[in-house]
Amino acid sequence: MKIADGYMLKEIAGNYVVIPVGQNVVDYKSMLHLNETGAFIWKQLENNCTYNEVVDALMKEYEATEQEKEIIVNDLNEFLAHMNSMHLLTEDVKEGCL
Amino acid sequence: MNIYEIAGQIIALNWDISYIHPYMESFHSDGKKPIDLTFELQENTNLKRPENEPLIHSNYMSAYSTKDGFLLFYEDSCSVNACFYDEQARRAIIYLTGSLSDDSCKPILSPNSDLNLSTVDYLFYTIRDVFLLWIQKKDMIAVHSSTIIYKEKAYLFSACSGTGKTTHTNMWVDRFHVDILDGDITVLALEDDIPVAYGIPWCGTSGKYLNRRVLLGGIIFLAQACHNRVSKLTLFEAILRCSARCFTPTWTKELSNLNLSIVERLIPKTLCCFLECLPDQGAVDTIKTYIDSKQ
Repeated sequence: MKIADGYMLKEIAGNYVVIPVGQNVVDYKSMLHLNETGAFIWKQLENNCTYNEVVDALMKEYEATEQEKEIIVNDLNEFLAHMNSMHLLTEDVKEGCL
Repeated sequence: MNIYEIAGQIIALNWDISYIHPYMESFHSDGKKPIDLTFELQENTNLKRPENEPLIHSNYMSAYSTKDGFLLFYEDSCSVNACFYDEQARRAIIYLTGSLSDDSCKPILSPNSDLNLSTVDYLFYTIRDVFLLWIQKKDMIAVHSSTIIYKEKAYLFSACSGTGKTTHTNMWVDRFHVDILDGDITVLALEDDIPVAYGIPWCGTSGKYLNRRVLLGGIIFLAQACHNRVSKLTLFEAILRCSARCFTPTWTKELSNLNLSIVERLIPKTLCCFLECLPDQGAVDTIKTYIDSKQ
């Protein structure tokens, strides 16, 4: 799984923001404000984690039980769908998970 | 060689002064300081584009990364083909499709846009593009703003084009006879940890600029509204707004980080606010009262 080229995550004054770079500045201009969970997922994706690896990382980070896994998966899917709608994901993620 | 000092940076232009934009004149330097950046011309050229993807492509310009720096191709210029900026050598070569002549001062309608600029104008803007890359590395940013000097401090009014920056600052000029430091782009720096602002020759269509260094008083982010109201910005909001108004390039992560690095250090030391306003004198009164209360 991979973040599309031309974006970077920055922590600014305690807030996480995805900032467009290069051509994305010309085309989109806007920034995306992430909460801590969003930033955590972003960092996993930056490390080319698979979908299942991101789920596992979230389970571990939030010390979730197997019963809570469905909530995590739903939240992750919703987040990825939002990122996808903003063209922040590469094709393989879209085909593999959404 | 014609030498200029702009925002404390010494630049040398290696061609005849008749082809140097008149706005540069008040930045002329005596040449006693070491040169930071040299510009040269090559006439009658037709530089080919690299095969790699450009970092950015717009109607105005395409920028490519090269081993030694950046290669800029001008999309709407009939005369300036490209510019190669060699960062290590601190040298820029501007490639002209033709040669300089009396016609170089005459405006030509661009085939790709409604711009009507002369070769001298395009040379002027090409120098600006390299100058912005240079100042980024010197820990400075350029902010898109119309900037007044009020009580010996610079106040930037910053917003997207068309919001009314110039309309607003012109009202300050009419009412309080303030000077305009720059009508389009202001350079900001931290010098001994103190924020300062510089006027530069590039001032958009305003024609207003001063060769001055002034302490930075504040940055006011403007928005059109049906009322006049000032509100505080959180540090986060102010950093984001300032970053978004930076004119210094964001072509790569490195360049974006350079902008953010100085914005994050400069904003906490600067008065920043958000002005929702009408295009009327009430807006000037509202923000002037706010500024005065903070001094």
